[in-house]
Amino acid sequence: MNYERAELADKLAAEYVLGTLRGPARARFEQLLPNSPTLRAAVNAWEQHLLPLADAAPAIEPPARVWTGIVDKTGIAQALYGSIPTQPAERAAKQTWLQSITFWRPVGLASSLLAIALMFYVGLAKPPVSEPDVAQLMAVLSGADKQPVMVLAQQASGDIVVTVVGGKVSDAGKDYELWALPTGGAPKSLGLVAQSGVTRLKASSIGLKLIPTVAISLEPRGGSTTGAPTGPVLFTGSVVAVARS
Amino acid sequence: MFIGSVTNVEQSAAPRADEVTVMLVACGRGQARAFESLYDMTRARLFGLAVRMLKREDLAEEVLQDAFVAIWNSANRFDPQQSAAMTWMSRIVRNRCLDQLRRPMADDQELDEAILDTLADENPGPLALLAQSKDAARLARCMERLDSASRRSILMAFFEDLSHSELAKALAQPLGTVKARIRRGLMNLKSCLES
Repeated sequence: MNYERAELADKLAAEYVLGTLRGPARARFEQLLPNSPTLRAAVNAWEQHLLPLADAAPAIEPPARVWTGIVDKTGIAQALYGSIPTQPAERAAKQTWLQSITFWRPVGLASSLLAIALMFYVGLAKPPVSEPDVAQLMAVLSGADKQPVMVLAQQASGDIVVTVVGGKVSDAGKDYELWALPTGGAPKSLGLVAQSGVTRLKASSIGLKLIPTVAISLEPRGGSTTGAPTGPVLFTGSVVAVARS
Repeated sequence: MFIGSVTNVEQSAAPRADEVTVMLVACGRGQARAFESLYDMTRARLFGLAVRMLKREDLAEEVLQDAFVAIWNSANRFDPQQSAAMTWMSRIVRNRCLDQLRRPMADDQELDEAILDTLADENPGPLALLAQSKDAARLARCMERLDSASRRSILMAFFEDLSHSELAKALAQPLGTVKARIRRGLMNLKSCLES
């Protein structure tokens, strides 16, 4: 393709993505796309440029019923809840955002799935530009089968963010409680963690820097009342320092 | 007793692009829990996009739901080398919004309302929101460099789905001027983003 045609293709791709290419011209462009890798590449490049404009619109929380509908139509209720949930709004009530996590070194990961996903993640990580609250410590928690269930990160602020990435059916009548396990000391509770999605625990005085291991135990609703785990330990993970980029 | 406590959503920093990528890749491998986390991380931004474009929350809910079903069903085709995860997901949502908008229902009155909505936007301006987004930080800086007329035209075209002639009418400017301005604006954006 000569220079002029390449320019034209680029111009049309830009207008196609922006939305100003209309009518018969748009229809013809769409017909050309399946057979033209050049046009498709131009469209993809313009999508990467322009689609982040979506963030110029204010974020709005959707109602819980949207998630219910999604679970219904994808048929993943069994995988998530073990049974058709009767109180889906309850899960949706735990709404949290994941804080930024910078470049980190996956240490001792058994699962190929997470390792592959993290390879992409690591490959795409960019050096932070004056990040206000970066992750300093991380842990991947897994059960006896070594499959990763949760990823935990402690930010510079002390906040702990826990993200569920795998695992199976959760126990609806009980709560997950997160514990720091210092060497030779008693377990210290870090708080309750949602059994799915993302949980953010406000900064506590417990820094994980000197804590080698974290664990999740299954507790009665509301957590342990004794100050120590009363239920079985389901998942554990080793705490590692985040590599500075 | 415990020391930490579970907090509710504060509209603090949105997840970085990388976390969304990890979750989407995991979804491609059938991890339902990762899909739930992906929804947690991105639902407000994508719903916000749909509401902004459709101006109706009920339609936006339908679009969001259908889009996420499509995201789950096609996540195995997501290639992180080709596209940012949020871009990939935004495209699915936006295309569904465009399908809705292009139904033969638009008339002059809807067009006027759409324009008034854009101009009377009481939220922090689009540029301010863009500047807060980590994913769009670069785009925000490049948008700032455009003259305000180009910037406004591009934002209107993106969100209101206006053609050149509709834009010309909305801005009360000649068609040729509007076309040239958008073209220049897009080229400036591209060279800024690719530099």
